[in-house]
Amino acid sequence: MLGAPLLGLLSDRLRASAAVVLPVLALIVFLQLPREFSLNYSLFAYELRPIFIDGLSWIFSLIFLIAAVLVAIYSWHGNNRLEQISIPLYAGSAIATVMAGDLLTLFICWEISALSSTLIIWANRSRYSRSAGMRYLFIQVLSGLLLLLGTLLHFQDTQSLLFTAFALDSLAHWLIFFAFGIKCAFPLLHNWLQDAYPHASASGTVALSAFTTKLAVYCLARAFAGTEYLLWIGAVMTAFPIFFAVIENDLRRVLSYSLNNQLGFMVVGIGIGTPLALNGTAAHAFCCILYKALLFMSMGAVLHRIGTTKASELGGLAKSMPWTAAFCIIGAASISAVPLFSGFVSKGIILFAVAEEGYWLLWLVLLFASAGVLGHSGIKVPFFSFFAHDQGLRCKEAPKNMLLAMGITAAACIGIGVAPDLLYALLPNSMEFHPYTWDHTITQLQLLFFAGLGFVLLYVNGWYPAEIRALNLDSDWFYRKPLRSLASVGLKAFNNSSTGWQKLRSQTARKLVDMAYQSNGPRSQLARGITVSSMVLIVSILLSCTLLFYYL
Amino acid sequence: MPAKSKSVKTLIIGLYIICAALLLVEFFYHRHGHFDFELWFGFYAGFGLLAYLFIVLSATQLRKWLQRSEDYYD
Repeated sequence: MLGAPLLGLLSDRLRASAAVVLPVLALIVFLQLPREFSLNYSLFAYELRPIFIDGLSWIFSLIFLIAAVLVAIYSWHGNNRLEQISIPLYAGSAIATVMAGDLLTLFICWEISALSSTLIIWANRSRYSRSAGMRYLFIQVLSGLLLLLGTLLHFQDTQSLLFTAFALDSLAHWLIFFAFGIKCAFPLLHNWLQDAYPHASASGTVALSAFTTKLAVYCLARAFAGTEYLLWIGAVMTAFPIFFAVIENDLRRVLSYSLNNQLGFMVVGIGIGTPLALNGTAAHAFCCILYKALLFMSMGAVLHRIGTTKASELGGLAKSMPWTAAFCIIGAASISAVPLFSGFVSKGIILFAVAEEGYWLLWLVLLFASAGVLGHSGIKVPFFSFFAHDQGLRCKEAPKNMLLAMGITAAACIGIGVAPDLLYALLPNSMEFHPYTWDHTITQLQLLFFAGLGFVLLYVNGWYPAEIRALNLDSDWFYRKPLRSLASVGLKAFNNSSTGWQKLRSQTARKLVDMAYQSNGPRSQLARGITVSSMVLIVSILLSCTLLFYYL
Repeated sequence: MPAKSKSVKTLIIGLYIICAALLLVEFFYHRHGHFDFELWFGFYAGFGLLAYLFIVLSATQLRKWLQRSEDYYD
């Protein structure tokens, strides 16, 4: 029933209006369901539980559905058929994954979401999106394979496929942990996020930002709540992206680093594992999807009108796009946790939960990260695109559908900030938490305003790093540079032969090198020749392998 | 560096005033906190400022190692 979005628009070439109706319908259907619900099913004598709704999955499903509606409104203007099919498929598979109660269903929907999100990237057809999509696909499939292996081993150990809490006590569980971690952008496994997201179209990136990573957060919360490693993984995740985000030029890439940072907060909440902390994670995921989408939407609008989101090329757009600027500022205020906006009431829970457990060092790291968020997302993104040096760029305001989507999202951000109990009522666990104490409000305002003061001091004195057209290295260097150099050296060596066999030899050699290239290089043959039908083939092969395994 | 128009200057002065006000407010209400260091005068203010400065200045240094031209991977 809610799997319907999965299949819905596969064959429909008609449009965007249908794309909006579909998630709205799904949302209505969803809201009719009770908050505790489970559907059991027996398949070949294995107990499956394809749908399992409890407090945790309920709220994630809810926000995913809302996000699906917002994305559909935002992308209403588009005419890219592949993208229009892929986005609802992606949203639907994400929702289905969240509702999965057993590992098999989880795996199938996990893979569908990976494939459909890759399609979204490829649909963009920009100069870089083919290769970026290929790298993205490789990493997502890797995550899927780890999940599959983990599931099989887990089944061997326990004879159960139910998706419940796991402890990190067996190889199976570690594999699953890493599978989730990849999709959640754990440190060193994170770079696919910054690599791929900026290469999707304006609407594509908004869709991408909402689902995959939060899906991983949900899975981690379900399976590994209270795992201590997550505390430190999360802490690192909040801290390191900030540095990268400050020096990054492409503003959508800045937002991708910022997404990584927000995920860190959620991961820390999972690591603590108390009902309060898990509430914080769920609340933060809810708010983050909204304000991240808002920020990506505003940057997407800029991309749509101007053609770039590179800070070095932007500036002074507030005059031409006042509404977009205003929405962007609302998103920036939300992510910085300014009081009266959504981030304040959700991040506050997590910080409080950390403090309650006495983890003072962790708490300081999170506080540090909170100040940092203001620096890149809160100030940099709106300032350098809409204000700062006016380059004389003039354009029309964003299209009406984008404004509508942004408006609704912005209203939600403010609404949650002003009336947090509305959100708190939706959370999985009951709790007593009051974000608007004098203490909390004033100290947060101090933190933010003084960080802002720091910005002003730097900028006015010319110490703030300039926005330059450049590329910054990150952990993807390890698999992009060395392997390519090896491959090109190999190619060169073979091309230096001078006999009449040269052509034949280099062709064979090229094939050999390409096979090495295939899964690792940015310009592999696979990227050139891939089509949607080949993807369907791969999916069906993967699924039949899964079935085969279960027979064995 | 941007041209410093009058409105920008007003904004900056406004910022200074708000910051000063936020510090003064500390004297007027009873502070609670989980940790001892939270209760130092101006802790959050100072932490925010220092954290921000640290991040931006060290990121600028980090840039020296990490920066490449845009077509580095091509």
